[in-house]
Amino acid sequence: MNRRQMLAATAAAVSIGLTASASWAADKKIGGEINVLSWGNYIDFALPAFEEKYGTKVNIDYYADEKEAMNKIRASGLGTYDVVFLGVGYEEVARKQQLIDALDVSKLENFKDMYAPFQKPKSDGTHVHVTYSWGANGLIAYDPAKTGGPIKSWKDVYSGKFKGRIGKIDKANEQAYRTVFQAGFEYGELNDEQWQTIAKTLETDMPHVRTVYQHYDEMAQLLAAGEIWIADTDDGGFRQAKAKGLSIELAYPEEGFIAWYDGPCLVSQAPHPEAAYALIDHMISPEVQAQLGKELGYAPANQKAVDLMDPALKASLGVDQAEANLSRVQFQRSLGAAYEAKATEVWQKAKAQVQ
Amino acid sequence: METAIALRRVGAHGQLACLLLPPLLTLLILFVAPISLMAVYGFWAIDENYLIQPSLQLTQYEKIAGDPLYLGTLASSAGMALLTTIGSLALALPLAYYIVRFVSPRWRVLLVLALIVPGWVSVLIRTYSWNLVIGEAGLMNWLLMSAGVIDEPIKLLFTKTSVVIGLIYIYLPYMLVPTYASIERLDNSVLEAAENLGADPFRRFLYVTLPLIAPGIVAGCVITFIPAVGEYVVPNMLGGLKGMMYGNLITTAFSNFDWPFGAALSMVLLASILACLLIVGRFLDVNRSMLGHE
Repeated sequence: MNRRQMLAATAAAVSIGLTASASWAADKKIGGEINVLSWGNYIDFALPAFEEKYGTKVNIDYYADEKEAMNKIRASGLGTYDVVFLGVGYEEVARKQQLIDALDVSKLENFKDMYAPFQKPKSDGTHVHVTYSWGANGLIAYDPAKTGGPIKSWKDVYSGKFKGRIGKIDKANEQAYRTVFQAGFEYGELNDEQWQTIAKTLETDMPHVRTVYQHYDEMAQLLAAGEIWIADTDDGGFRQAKAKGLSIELAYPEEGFIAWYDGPCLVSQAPHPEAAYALIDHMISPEVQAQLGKELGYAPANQKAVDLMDPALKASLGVDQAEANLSRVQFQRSLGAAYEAKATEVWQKAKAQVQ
Repeated sequence: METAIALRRVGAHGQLACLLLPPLLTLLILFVAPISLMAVYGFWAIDENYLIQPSLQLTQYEKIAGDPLYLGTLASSAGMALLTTIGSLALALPLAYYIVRFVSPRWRVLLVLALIVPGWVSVLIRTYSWNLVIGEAGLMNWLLMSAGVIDEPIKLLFTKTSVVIGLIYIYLPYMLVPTYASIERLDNSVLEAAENLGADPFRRFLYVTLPLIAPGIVAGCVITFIPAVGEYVVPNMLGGLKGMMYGNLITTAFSNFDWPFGAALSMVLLASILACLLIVGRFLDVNRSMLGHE
């Protein structure tokens, strides 16, 4: 064997070794378990594949909203949960409360395939979450057979024709921004005069409202039972209701609406960090992201997922316009405890006045 | 001799201490400590990042006192809990009386069990089932419309009435058990004596039965009224906008990270219930004195 042959043989051996090593890394079993906090019926469909691939058992704990999730982390103490799904500004609050750590996105193989806006770090240069799903909120679901025609705006909703047939989501901050658009204001912090207008607008609207609900599954049940004809929704909530066979339509109110995002964060002092990173990467993989659209009707945050979707699903999720929509839409953010307290006070009073 | 007696006394005291210590510790750890902690939280506040800041201030209580929303909702919740208590008593008393007086002992236990067993099912499921019964497309409207009694469905769901119906359904066993127990313990010979002395059924019930079963009724009323005031599952599911109760305000405060405000709201509820119990206790003492039961 001459020197050239020797070098070629060595290179081949190294190459085979590296390939084998990469292949082993990709299929590496982590084992053990991982403790995750998530919305109900939100990530469950993706877990069997993760458990099989990594040999890691996922213990999932459900919450009704992000605040409950953060309360659970605090109450159980750091070192209990590994991953929590947070979004629309709550990840910033959780970071300030030192409940979650910054993410090292270089450990996430699929991160580079996310749409550009979802790869942007926070203003301090860190990433505290990755986007798992996103969409529009502040929307209107309605039953055209009952309303007798299309609904295009909040003005239509509260025209007086549908008194006692309207349902609203029982979340103070959502009601605040819905009413902000209805009153013609910009989304963001509000002054006293603007809060008074919001309170007055809600005071006028509430006598038209039949009931409030905690989540969109409840909305679907109320629409199906005919208790309400028009309901507050987000795009995913609407698509899930529609998938249950409801004859409902979706309206993006003319007065304005807002975008939301949601995704996994690494809980501080996570007891299983390796499995946590593996799960986060799995949730943003093209396969899971494509399945997310099919299962729950949310648009993917990973652009490679689009290639795995059938044309009908792509059309229903509007993924062809995703980049254009992302460039012009305004996302929700944390507006602080004082804003939240004021929104809660205004919303509670609006509810109480119809007692 | 004296030393032996003293040692025996210490031994008796020691035994008593050993007996009392476990329940006292349990009470201290599971009741006094959390409630005390809650009381302390009520004087604290949260900052702009939702972090709790220990302090000694009355801000939370000033907020509650200064806004009619909170005390108004507490008063309306007390009213709904009172209606629930009265409704439960109106159902439980004749039912318990019938079971004790007219049902054979063999069937009695089965009947009482049949009334209590549904209570083993989750409150959430039982409350949701009322949605299916009183909803616009529910069983009640279907039956009434099929029978031609009504032309249009009754909008009962998401009203205060639907909340009270749901609460009565949930809390009926709480009223039934103590009422049943007190009626079962009634001494028949006392009633026979009253009858022999010429008392008609109404007078027998009013002057003999009622005073004798009063402790059971009072116990039933207390254990129905107290949890009903702070209820939040039933109003959430059946009340919609019109059935909001004080418990819903507490839940909202805690779920908004505002533990100090939630704690203050809870303390106000606790104090109000204790005040109610004191008033009821005093009222019963006065009545007992007037009836010569001292």
